[in-house]
Amino acid sequence: MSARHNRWLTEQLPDWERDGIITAEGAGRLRERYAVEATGGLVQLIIGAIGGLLIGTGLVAVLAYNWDDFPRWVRLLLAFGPLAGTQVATWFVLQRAEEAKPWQREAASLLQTFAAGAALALVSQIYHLPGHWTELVFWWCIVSLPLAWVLKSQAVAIAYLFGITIWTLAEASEQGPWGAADAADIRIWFPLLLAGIAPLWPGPTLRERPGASGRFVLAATTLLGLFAVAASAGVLSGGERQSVFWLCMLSCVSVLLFPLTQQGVSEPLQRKPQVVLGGLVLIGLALVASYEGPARSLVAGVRAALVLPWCWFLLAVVICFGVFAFRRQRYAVLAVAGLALVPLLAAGVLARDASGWPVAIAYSLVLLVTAIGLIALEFLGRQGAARIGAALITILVILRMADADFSLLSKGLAFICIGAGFLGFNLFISRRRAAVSGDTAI
Amino acid sequence: MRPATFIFLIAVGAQWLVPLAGVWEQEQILTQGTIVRIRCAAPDPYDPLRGRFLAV
Repeated sequence: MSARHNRWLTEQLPDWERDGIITAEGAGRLRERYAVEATGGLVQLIIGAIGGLLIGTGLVAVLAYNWDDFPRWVRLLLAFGPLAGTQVATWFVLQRAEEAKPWQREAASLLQTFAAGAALALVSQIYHLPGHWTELVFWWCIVSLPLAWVLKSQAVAIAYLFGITIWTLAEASEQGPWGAADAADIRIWFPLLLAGIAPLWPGPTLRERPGASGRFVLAATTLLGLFAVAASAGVLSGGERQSVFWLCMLSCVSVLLFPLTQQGVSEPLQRKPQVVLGGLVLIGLALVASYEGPARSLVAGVRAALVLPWCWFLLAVVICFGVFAFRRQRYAVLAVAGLALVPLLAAGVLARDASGWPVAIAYSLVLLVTAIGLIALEFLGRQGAARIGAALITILVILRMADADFSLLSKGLAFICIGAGFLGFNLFISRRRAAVSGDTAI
Repeated sequence: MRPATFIFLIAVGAQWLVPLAGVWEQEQILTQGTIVRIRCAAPDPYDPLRGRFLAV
């Protein structure tokens, strides 16, 4: 159920108890099962965030005005004054503890985050400090992170996730012979920085789960950061660039299979962006690999990747998460995750100079089987994703039809039939779900 | 002291310490360093973080 439904249920429970429809014990169990997240809602988050953004931007503009005319001590005062002011304001909000409204926590913590960033940037400017802008982003993230923990601020957590991802991408671009010699080893730093968010949204139990926007940003930034690490892993180890393709696939699988509680598993797909993003990107990569050239490159990349420590780390994570997923009977996500195993098996079976066609054909078949599996699981009463399965079959047929030597008229007619079939199937699924009164969950 | 208060105070300290470390280092150079005058041309560079500067 969505947060809106949970809130509605929580509002109804006292009336139901009073009317004797349910017992107090039953109401308590329902409250526990469909708990309302204490995030304060999206509106309050946006109000707090906009307020913080406006004031923060205004502060920067005021400081920038006639900046060059101020003596150094005045500039330092202007750099540290807002920081001190916002720290005092946050202190008062923190002392109010549970009485503080969500927008107050969001605004105070975001303001302080901006003030800390402004102080760092202004000191850099006042003293003409040498160095790269990524150092400022790194320290800004580090000194702001505790605010997300203590004030339970989603805005600061989201800003932190964006910050570490931007830093990781920038550091990844500096790797290799063309980049800076002192670029950070993001294979170590990115997982450490990502783990920094754990005290706010603790672990697989997800006791205090992030809101919808937090979940999406967490999944997206994790995926982007892992891609950056995958890109740099091959370069740092002197490996082949081809390894990046498969490392990206493994990164998608590790995001896709992130362990969930039973309650998390039963939630609708819309509330699990890690499954949507990880799964869709993995399917996209698999569709690319259904062509001969990329398939050949992918298998060569697996051989190059297997000598990299980062690859073995990812494999270990994937195996652990896979075991958890199997125990939770998440067969649909396991079926999609299986797409990353195709090149591994091919690398063990095929000769080094083999054509990419066997792998490309295998990928088309495995994608087709996966799609059928996603549809079949839903019809068997398991957790499936019939619509995604149907969309995958449609895309596969379109891609293969586009390659085929049929006339334009034949292709056009085939596309019309496929489109009509896809729409009809979706209509059928909608009616079926309305009849069953269930929602898709994988 | 509550853990949240303790963590907040550490964060406050870090938010002062990181920029002040840069200030202290540069003030040491300004007060104790040797002045070297070099004739150079100014192409008017500007950097959002470093301000107006000359790459010598």
